[in-house]
Amino acid sequence: MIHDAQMMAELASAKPTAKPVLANVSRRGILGGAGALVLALSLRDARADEGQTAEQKAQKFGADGMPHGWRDDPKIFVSIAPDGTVTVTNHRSDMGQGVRTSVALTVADELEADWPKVKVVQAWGDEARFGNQDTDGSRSLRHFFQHFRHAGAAARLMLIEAAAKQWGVPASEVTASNHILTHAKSKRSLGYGAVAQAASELPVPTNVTLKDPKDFRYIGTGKIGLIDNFDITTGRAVYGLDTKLDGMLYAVVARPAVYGGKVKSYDDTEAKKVAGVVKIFKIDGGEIPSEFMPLGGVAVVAKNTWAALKARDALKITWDDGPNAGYDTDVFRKELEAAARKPGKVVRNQGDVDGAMAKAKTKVEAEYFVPHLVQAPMEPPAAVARVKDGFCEAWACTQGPQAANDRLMKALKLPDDKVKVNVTLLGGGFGRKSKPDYVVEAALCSQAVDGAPVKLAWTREDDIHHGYYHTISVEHLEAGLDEKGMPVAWLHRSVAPTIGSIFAPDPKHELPFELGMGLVNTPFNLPNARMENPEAAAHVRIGWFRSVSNIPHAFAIQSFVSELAHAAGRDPKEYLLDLIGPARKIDPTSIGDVWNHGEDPKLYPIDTGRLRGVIEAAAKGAGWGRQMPKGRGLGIAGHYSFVTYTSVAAEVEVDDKGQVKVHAIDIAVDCGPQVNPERIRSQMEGAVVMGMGLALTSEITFKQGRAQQNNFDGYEIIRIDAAPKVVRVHLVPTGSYDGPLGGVGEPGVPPVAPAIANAVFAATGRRVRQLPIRDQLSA
Amino acid sequence: MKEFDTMMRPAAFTVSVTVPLALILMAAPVLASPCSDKIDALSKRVTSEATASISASTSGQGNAAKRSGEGMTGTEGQRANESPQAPPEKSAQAGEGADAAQQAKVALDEARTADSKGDATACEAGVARAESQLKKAP
Repeated sequence: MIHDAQMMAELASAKPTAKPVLANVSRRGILGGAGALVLALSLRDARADEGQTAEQKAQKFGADGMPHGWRDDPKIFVSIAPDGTVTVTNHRSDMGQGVRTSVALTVADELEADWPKVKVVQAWGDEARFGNQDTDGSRSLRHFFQHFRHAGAAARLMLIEAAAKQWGVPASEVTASNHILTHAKSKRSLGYGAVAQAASELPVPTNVTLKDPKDFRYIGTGKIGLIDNFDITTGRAVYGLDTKLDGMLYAVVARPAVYGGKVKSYDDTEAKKVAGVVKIFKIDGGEIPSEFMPLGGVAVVAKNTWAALKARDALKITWDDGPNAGYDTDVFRKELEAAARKPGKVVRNQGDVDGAMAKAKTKVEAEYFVPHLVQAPMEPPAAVARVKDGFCEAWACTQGPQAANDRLMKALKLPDDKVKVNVTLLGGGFGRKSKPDYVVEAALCSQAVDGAPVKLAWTREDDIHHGYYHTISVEHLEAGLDEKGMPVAWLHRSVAPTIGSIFAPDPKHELPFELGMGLVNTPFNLPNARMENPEAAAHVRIGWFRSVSNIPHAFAIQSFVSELAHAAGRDPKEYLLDLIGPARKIDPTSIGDVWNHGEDPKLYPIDTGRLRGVIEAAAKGAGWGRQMPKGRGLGIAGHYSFVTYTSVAAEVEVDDKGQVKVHAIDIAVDCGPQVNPERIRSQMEGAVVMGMGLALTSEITFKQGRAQQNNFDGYEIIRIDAAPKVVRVHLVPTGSYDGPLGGVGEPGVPPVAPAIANAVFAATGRRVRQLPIRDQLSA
Repeated sequence: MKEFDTMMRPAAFTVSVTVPLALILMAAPVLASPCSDKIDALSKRVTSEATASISASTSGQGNAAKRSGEGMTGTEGQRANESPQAPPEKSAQAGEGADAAQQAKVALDEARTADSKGDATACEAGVARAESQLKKAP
């Protein structure tokens, strides 16, 4: 395996300082020699959309609708060295989800490569070359699995063709298996490396036959471990914070504590006295909306991080706190509640809710609250940048290298071919590292010290004080029930500041993509349903947090369903299934979803049968219906997000002091075809831990516009002693490998909190309507 | 009675009130109101606009339409046509068009409900709102 640091250095040295370049130039650099299947580029005809109208052709979904789309050219993603070593270029950021492994095994399987001979290198940010690199939205395999299959299969065919030519036999008589090309009739065989050069001179085939999934050796087997496991567990893996360059300086930034705040003046007399300080300068900022650009402040560049931190502490800065100086989350919650109790912008209105509500036998009403959260990845934001001779090169733990590239261009006023962003491993991301403000800060620091490379690091406190926070929300639900206790009317008001507020003057309404995260597309069998979205202003930077608006929506809806079941005197699981109704496929546009995760509604309808399936699987895993001892309870929740279906059954115990102990979690997931089951399990396990954190302990509050938490002592995530002893992941098999995939990275999170809250109710009879639970039950 | 409520169209009331209820029920699916005709006519447009909004939600039709086919092999030659473009969900344009499509759907559903209750005025108002929203969509 190529060591990541080596890989980074090779990539860095390989890419010329000006674009465009030929793909093979860098690849040859990586492999250190000629004779590899790293070929000069040849433009292969794109597959045509036969039989589509012009309007349909203009409508692109999934990967094809993303900026810069996708590529499946083996000449971009696959190289084979003379010794047979296969190198797969992965263009998606790996933040622990294991995409480097999943991409490599997909290519390797179709290539018929021998796994131990496969290694992976990380692509730099260049979407025009690699296709979309925004590693968020649970999209990597969903969007690129088939394309990577094509890349691997095309490379296999090229090797076969090259071997056939060498032997003077028809290609149809040559087989490729486990890194060996064989002509059975003549009993000849060759390794991949032996024909790599010849294969490199062939055009990429346009008609590629993919393997029959029954012949997969790696895909779907669950037998492939993380390709980076050894490096990660031995400390050799290179994360953003690990990056080192010769002559590197270190920087931190004193940022405004309040969103929109600005530096009025500063005195750096004492700071300059700190040994090792090289430069102190002001970074402009404070604009609202901030987009992905820095908040501004005062930067300190020093010879080491300690000096930079000490100097930052010594700065005397006078701030203009700006318009959000009064932000107080306790007060704001009351504003949200008031808004939720009045009619708001209608975003779905099916049937006659008011009429049905008036005629209902009984009415149930409840409100739920979810606070701000911060992603708090284990590795805080970090980047190294070198801005020299009109060229900016950065190394960053970023989920969006192209986004970073673009912001560097903007901040430094450099053209695209004068900027390069290298991607390191990410020590977690959860959405925070989609925003490259810290990469820009690093570049500004380097620029300020005449091009010396600078590592810009965020401390944990920086991360918690200056984040892109998960929204804060109040969810107001009302239902009118018939004589059987089933809803004849359903009203849901969701009030939450929108992510859109960081891009444009605050729209004050959730955007369609937020509404499509489990609000308007609630897939229940309801005769009358109305969803509303009253106004809510943003006072902090609102950003993506793993699973985003699905968190408050799922918490509220799945808790409310449990409340309705109780009101009806019904078993919560059976009630939930009845509410979902019979198995059917719902066109998301028919219920007002105009987002659908960017996927084709025909290819990705909401399949209630699959939702029912995961609920049944989680319930079965948990032994739903069994007698529970006093103080223990089972709760269940199911949710559809990122075109995947998940359900959680939680077994909790509440002691006489009101402390909640989660004993077991059963999480079932139906994400369609399973590329790397081992990683799916890991993602679900991680989602359980993260979901437990936001259910039990995590919360960011603001006073006078300032985050009140500083570190993990105040912003508590679940610690090992609170983790459940049992987490069972149930992978529900669905669909053909030629069919659509669902997301995996995020869908595990939303059902965790409501399942726990419902279990608390089952255990105690006490209903949790606000997160985190913390000591709510101690009173 | 609930089924009746949902099936009955305003046009049914133009039939003599002496006509037995059963006949009204039989006639209802055939005798669509002018407003329900408009709803039917708009439904496809609303669905189409919603689908277009989904397509535009990531990078936008404009970006996708630059490519004639689905995929591209990597080539620097594409760069000139593929200037970096943030998806609308990460831009100041976030939600543009989609909001109009969603509001058109809401208005149409409200028209449908009004129509089922025989409220022609409200139905027409809903249809007008839906049309207005569709005009806003790009």
